[in-house]
Order: sequence, then structure tokens, then C-alpha cells
Amino acid sequence: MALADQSQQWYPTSVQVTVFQARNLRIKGKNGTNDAYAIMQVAKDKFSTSVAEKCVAPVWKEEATFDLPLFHHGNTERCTLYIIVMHRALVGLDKLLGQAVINLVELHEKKSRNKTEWFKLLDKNGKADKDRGEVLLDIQFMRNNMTASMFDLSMQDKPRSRIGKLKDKIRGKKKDGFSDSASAIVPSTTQVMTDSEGEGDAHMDSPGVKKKSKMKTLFAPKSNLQRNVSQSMSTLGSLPEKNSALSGSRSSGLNMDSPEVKKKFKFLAHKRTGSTDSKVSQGPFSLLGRSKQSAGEQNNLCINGSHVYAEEPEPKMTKAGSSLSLNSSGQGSVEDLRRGQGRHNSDVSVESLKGLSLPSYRAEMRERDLLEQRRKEQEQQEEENRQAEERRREEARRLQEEHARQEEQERRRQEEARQAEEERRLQEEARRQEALRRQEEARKAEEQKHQEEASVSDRLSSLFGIIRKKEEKKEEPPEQPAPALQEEKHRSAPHSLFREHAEVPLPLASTNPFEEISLSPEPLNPFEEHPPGPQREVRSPHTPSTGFPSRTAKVSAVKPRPHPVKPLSSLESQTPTSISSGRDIKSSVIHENMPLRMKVTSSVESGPYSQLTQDELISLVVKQQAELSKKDGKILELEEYIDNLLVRVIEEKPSILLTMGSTKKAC
Amino acid sequence: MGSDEAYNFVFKVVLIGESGVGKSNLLSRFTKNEFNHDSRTTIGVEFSTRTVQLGTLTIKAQIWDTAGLERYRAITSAYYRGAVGALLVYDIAKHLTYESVERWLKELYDHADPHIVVMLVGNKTDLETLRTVPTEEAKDFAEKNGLLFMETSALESTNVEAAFHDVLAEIHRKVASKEVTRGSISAVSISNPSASGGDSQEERKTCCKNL
Repeated sequence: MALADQSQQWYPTSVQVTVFQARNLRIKGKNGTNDAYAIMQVAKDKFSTSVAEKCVAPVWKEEATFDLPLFHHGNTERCTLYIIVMHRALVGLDKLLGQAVINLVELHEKKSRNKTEWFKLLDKNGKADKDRGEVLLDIQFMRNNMTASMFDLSMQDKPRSRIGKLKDKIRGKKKDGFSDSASAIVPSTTQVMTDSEGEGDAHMDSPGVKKKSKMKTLFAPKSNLQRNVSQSMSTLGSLPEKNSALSGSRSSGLNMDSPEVKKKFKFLAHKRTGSTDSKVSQGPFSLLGRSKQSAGEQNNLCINGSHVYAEEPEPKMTKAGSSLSLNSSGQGSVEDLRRGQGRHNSDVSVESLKGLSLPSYRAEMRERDLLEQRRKEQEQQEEENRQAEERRREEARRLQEEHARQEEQERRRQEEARQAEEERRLQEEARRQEALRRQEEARKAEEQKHQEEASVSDRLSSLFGIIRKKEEKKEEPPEQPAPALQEEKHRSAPHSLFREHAEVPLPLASTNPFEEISLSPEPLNPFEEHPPGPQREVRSPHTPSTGFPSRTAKVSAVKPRPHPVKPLSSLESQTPTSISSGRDIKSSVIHENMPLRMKVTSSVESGPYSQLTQDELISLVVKQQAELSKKDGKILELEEYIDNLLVRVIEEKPSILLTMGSTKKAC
Repeated sequence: MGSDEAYNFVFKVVLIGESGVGKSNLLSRFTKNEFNHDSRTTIGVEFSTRTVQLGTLTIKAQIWDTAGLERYRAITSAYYRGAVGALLVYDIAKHLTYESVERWLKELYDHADPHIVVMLVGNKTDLETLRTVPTEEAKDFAEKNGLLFMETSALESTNVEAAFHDVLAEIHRKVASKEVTRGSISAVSISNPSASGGDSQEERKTCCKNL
């Protein structure tokens, strides 16, 4: 009963926060304006907006998505959204303008709330000390959508009591979420479920075998997997006792923080090889099981995955065939587990996977989901009876799938080759860039020396010049990531229509869209230390909105990066980077040339410091300041010495001080 | 040529005021009748002298000039020591230099003889179009603080003579009236006619003119 109740409740797995603007801020900057940016934080995840310079009422329109693991009252700490509005100080620490503290659990329960609303800014302790203005936020609760397609297709065919139920729900949601593909998916529902069940059976055939290879594949396919998968696994690993409860309330604990995922993932790998393995291995299956159009995307995933997990894409390729069998074994172990020890656990795991795979959907969709659920419950029982039969069927199906997969693999391999080539090219580009930068730095240093030889006042002014330059520089970097984002936007324009980040419709729409996209993160290379890796996250439910390295999600020290947060929508996005938008559009049209082009333009337009990151620039300035102050100290000493001499002269022989002109004339 | 001519008094007068108000050019205008359009910030301390005739008296004005820097320097007290007159200069086109007048007054009274004669000088009247300090305002301020007041232009040589002349006259008046009988003023006045090395400023001036 309780379970049923819970399952009927709607638990968000993530929240999408959009910071539109702020008003009535206190002024901490010069000339009565602020260089304001906002930090969005939930638990340990932080995102920072760009800096809105010289304004009183900054407008950002940037969004970020946070996972909401364990979304309930007992966990308010991790379900509290902080919006921290800061003023970027050129020197020293940035200043707090105010912060909004929002209890998401309460907010979620407040059904009547406006999605977009003004929140008052408080002081650093979260108290209202004085009027600090307000910030306009849009807060949307969502279910993860990303994996929906993956799991639907991969696990579809597992008719198990609760799983089935969940699956139904998922499907219902998915229908809503992916309006395009809804029809295509619906019919397959029951069928597919049986399939995957069969799959599980097949795996049982080779239960304990291939442990080693499993371990390997555990990592290889993992890299293919989207975060969600790993999340669900981590959930299992970290919260074993809770599993039974979890199975009821699928939302709870399903989403782990993306930053933690990796760690737990590994940890899990050791702890629960069997079950995790199966789940992991399902990842690729699900991918494969998806429509063929997703091939390109998969590819990207792999690459990114490889980046994240430091795994080569190749192994994955080669293992593709074997992964099948591995999968089966994994599956088998799942079954074993289920039967043997904790039925709950395995159930949960699958369910949690299901939960993860739920497409993000709005509250309106709930009704349908509930209906689906009920139907599911009935089906579950039937399904259990049917299991054996289905497993057999699944075997046959898998053979077919294998063919398809092999085809996929072929395609992927080609993709990968191409990608690798591109990567190489980009790396070269980056290296060239490096060299250029170094040259410029050297030149700068020389200039610096010259300047230092000049008089003190000259040097002071030059320092200011540098600072000014630096400022310009700071504005520069955003231009470059921008194109990537924009491209992203072009690409995801259909997505943003639904805001559901529908995975499925997109591949359907364009055959090879991801090839292009794979380029987009690359331009970031010179500026972001982790090149293409996290790009996949764009698609992952954790950060559906960002085209940025996972690093950004983990940042603890939040200096505003050029563009850590993706601007709101395709249309609006152009405003923040309006300067460069024209060029960006151009470059996004010519994808292949884009990185080159941007680099050229940037270096041409932005002078010697353009290649430096903000941190580098800051450290440069700091270094010079230190030097300056040292010299100032020396000058001071000299002045004092001269003064003392002067005093003696004044007292003993002032006539020496008679001006040169008059003494000359006197002669 | 009169350079060795006797003089009755040597008056030490200091120029003070913010950096860039034209102290050095006032000095060079008065002592050498020169004006340097691109003069640099004064470094160190220097002085010039000029002998002026006040009625029957010959007075040697020893006018000291230094950088108008803000911070305290070791020379500060040495600079003020023995000064019987001061020209507190500001730039009529830069209000900030006028706002700091009070600070300079304080420093002056901290280090100089309390009976020192002070004239508030609004320099650069040639920049009338850029004026930010109204004459009346400065005049009122000067009156309230018992200062002499004059607006000058070292560039156009307006009122420079008059300013120094008034200050020297006032100093002399004070000395003559025995208002001040002690301290630096008397000390300076003691060292009068027999003092050596006195040059006739007038002569030098003709020299300068020839240049």
C-alpha cells in the first residue's frame, strides 16, 4: 500500500534551474554598477553564470540542472538550492551581493507555485539583514529522460513484477516526453519487455564464467554508458539496505550526484561485480538496441566515455561482439542474485534503472503515468508467469540484434576513425596555439622589462594598462566557447522546444548529427583543460543543459568561467555573447573549419593576452604587482635617503639648493 | 652691480600646494621671469632668491619649492623651518587641489612658525574657461582663515609679482610692527646687511630677459 502510494507520487530526479536576472542589487562595483554573476548550487554541484558586466540589474538567462538524489524532507540539506549572486572583483575576492536559499522539497510540494518567480536575496548566513534585491528564477522539476530510451530498448524485455510496472510508467512518460517517437515506442512495449527477460535467461547460461572479461567489460561498456546507468549502480552499491524501500519509491536514491558517480562506480565494480556487470553491459545493448540513427551518437558517447573513464574507444569496438556474451553472463548473475540473496536488491537495481530512464516530464503527465502503472501491476504478474517463455524468445531476438549490432559497430568504427582524425587535427591546432601563446608571452615579458625601466609613474600607468587589457581579455574567452554552444543550440533546437531533451527524436531527424556536434566541444580545448570528454553530458540527464566538462559540475572554487552554463534557449542565447554571435553563426555553418577560424580570429582580435586563461592573467598581474611593490619599496628607501641628505643640506649649506638656473645665471 | 648691495631682510617663503598646481612655474616666473610649458614634477627641494625693494627697504626673498607630495617626508620640517611666508597654491581649474587646501594649511601650521604669513593663491587664471573654483568661494575661505588671497597666472604673468610683493610686504609689516619678535623671523632679519652672497635679482632678471 505504502509502496503503491509512493509510487504514485511524483518524485523529481533532477531540477532545472534557470537564472534569468536580478534586480535591486546592492552596488559593489565601480561607477554604481556591478560585474555580477550567479552561482547555482545544490549539494556539492555548483554552476556559475557568465559575468554580466557593468550593470545594475544583470540579465543572465542561464540554466543548470541538478540531480536530486534522495529527494525527501530528511535530506533537505542536499535538496536546497542556493543562488548566490556575486560581484566579480578585479582584485581580491569577489563580493557577495546576496543569496537566495530555496528548499526544493518544499517548493516541489507547493503545487500552486509559479514556475518562475522572484526570490529575495539574503545575506551570507541566509538571513535577511537588509534589502539585497531579488533574483528571478525558473525552477522545473524533472525526471531524467536520457536513459529512458536506452533502457527501454535494452531492458524493455524484462517482464518482472515491479520492473514491469515501472517500465510501463516509463513508457508512459516517454510517450509524453518524446512526442515524436511516442507512437513508435508504444507498440513495442510489451514485446520488448519480454525480450529483455529472455536476455536475462540466456545470460544465466553462463553464470559465473568470464569473471575476468567481465571485469574488463565492466569498464569498457561503462564508458559507453551514460551517467545514469552508473548512477543507478552506485545507488545500489551505496544504499543496499534501502533497496527494498527504494523499489517502491523509485525516485529516491536513484540519482547520485554526477561527480560521485565515477568513484562509486569503481567501488561498485569490486563489490558487486555480478549485478553491476549485468547492468553495465546492458548499457551498450540498450544503445545498440536503439534506432540505428543513434549510431553516431553512440559513437560520441564512447569517445566521451573513454575520456571520462580513460578508456580507449577501441576496446569497446572490439569487444562489441563479445560483449554480447558478457552481457548475457552479467544478466545471468543478476538473475542469480535475485533468486539467491536479495530479490529486492536486484529488483531495485533494475527499477532504479528504470527510474533513471524515465524521461523528464512535467506534472501534467502524471495522470497518464498512473494509469500505466496500474496496468503494469497487472501485467507484472502475468509477466512473471511468462518469463521462461520469454527468455527463450529473447534468445532468438538477440541473435537478430547481434547482426544489427555488428552493423552498428562497423559504422561506429568508421565514425571513430573519423573522430580520431579530427581529434588529432584539433590537438595539432591546440599545440600551434600553445606555441603562439608562448611567443606572445615572451614578447609581453620583454615589453614588461622595458616598461619597468621607465619611470615609476610610467610603470604604474602601464600596470593599469595591463589590467585594462586583462579585462578585455576576460571578455574574450567567452566568445570562443560561444560558437560551440550555439552550435549546440542549433542542434538542440528541437529539444529545447520540448525542453525534454528527447534523445530519440533527434537521431530520427538527422542521420548523422553527432558527427558535427563532436566538433563543437573541441574549440573549447585551448580554454578548457579537458577537451572533448564531458561533452556527452550535454545529453546526459544530469546536465542536460551544459556543453561543459563535468569539471564544471564539480567545481568547488567557483570563479566564473567564460560560459559554464549554457544560455537559455537558442534564441536568447545569442544575447549574452552578442558580440561574437555573427561570427559564431558563420562558424557553425562551416563546422569543419570552425576551430581553425575561431582561433585565427581570436588571436588576431584580442592581442597577446588573449590566449591566457583568467587564472593565468591574474597570476601574471599578481606577479607584476609584487614586483612593482618591491621596486616601490626601493624607491621609497632612496627617497628617504635623499630626503635625509636634503635635510642636512638645508640645515648646513642651503645655498647648494639654489636652483640650477639662478646659479648658472649667477655665474 | 648691486649684487653685493646690502639688504635689510632675508625672508624665507615656501611654496606649498598639490602637485601640478604650478608652484615651480610661479617661482620661476617670479625669480627668473620664465615659464616652462612642460615642466616635470619637482624632485627634491630647491629655492631661488630675488631681492625686492619695499619702500626704502631692500628685502631678499628666498623662495623654496618642493614637490607637492602628500606623504610626510623627512624634509618636511626642515622645509618649513624658518619660513616667514607661504604661498598656498591651488589650481582654479581643479577643484580637488582646492579641496586639499585645508590639509596643507594644517601641515603648515604643524611645522612652521605660527605667525607665518600665508597667501592662498589660485593659479592658472589663464584657464578661466575651465574654472571650477569660484573666486568668491576661495576669497571667503581665505578671509575666514586669515589668509591673503590672490589669483594668478604664471603662464600669463598675471599677479605673480603682486602676490609675492604682498606676501613680502605683509611679512615686513609684521616684523616692523614687532608683532613677531622671536623665532625664525627675527632670526632671519638679523642676518641682514652684512650677509654675503646676496645677488641682485633685478640684474639677473635682465640677464634672463636677454636669454
